Amino acid sequence: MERAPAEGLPYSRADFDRIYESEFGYVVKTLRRLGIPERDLADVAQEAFLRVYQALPSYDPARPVRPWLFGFALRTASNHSRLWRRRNLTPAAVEVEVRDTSPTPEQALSSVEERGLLIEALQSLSLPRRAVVVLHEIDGLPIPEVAGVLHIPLNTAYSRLRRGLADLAKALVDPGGPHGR
Amino acid sequence: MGAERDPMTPELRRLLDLEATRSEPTHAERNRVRRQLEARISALASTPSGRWRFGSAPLWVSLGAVAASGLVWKLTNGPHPARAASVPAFDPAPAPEVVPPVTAPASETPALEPPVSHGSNETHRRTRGVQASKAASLGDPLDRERDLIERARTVLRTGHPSLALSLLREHESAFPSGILSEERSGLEIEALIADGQLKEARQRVANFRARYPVSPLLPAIDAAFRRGAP
Repeated sequence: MERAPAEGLPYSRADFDRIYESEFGYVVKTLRRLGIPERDLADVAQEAFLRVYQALPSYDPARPVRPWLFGFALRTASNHSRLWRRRNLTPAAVEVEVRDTSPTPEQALSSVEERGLLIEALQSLSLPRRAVVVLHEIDGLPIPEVAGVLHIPLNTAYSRLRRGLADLAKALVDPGGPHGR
Repeated sequence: MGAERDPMTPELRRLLDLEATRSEPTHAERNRVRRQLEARISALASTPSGRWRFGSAPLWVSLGAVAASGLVWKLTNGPHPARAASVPAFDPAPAPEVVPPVTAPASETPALEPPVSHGSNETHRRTRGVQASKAASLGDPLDRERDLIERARTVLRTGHPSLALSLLREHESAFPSGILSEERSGLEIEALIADGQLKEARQRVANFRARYPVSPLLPAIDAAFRRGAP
């Protein structure tokens, strides 16, 4: 797990810049996994980092930076979804990312498509379950730490993980059906 | 009773692992977002409440409002003109042509009203009158929400917590489950602390934590408690 710069508290602009440079990719990928469509990723990432900038004095450099950043991504993604719901709109279907570094075009196309399937299936989960699945199964955070990041009881974290994975498995088999909403 | 089936299939595991190895966004994307971010940070830093004073929760209110209004702009008008020019979405497909409206973009940092003097009831009434008429003139509900919250924040910072509470109640009455409800609740706790109503503030904090467990306002609220603790 990457950590913020160790020297002193990251209160300076330079510290923010370092976090931005090292973690921009993580925040963007997390937002995508949390359901932000490709066309809104830049704007929503910008909002998330503005919040990070303002909250930097509260960051404890002794703790891993990514779980801390995940909280901002989750909150910003939640606001984004809430706004769409209030407007009785549905975010456009997840668009498939076209960039990839796989070695051959055939393989690249395949992995892009497969990632698209997973991202689409993730969107069928409720946000609380999705957050646990992303943190644990993709970011690799142990469940006790997931519970800490999300401020939920340990048993709740395990329960959300189990149900989230079940929903995800169903969604991959039946992409159109409602799962875990 | 049979054992519960493990939902993690090999195929699901493979897809999750594949997603975990997703490539990073390009430097060009990172830099595009950064340029736009720089402008907004500079705008924030130029206001007293925009500096790194984490105790100033109102800035969160501004950010939340700015974020929300930017999204509303997008939903109602298409891409924000300024962002459309400098921060294209990651989708490589060309963005639709949008004619920028003449009115100022809603996602710019909202200009704060100059601090109002509340030395008398007359001033208070006059201020409320101005507030009410301005809010009424704002067509978009989100603009009205933001207006009330911004005013509450301003008067709280100028040392008038009771007036801030009054504005926040007005917001609650008009927008019981508004988009800025979280910001309202956070500001309300700060105002209660500033007003010396610590018992009520503690009760609100417990509710706030339960409702918004990952709220970025929580550290500011805790800091306000530390400052306001007898």
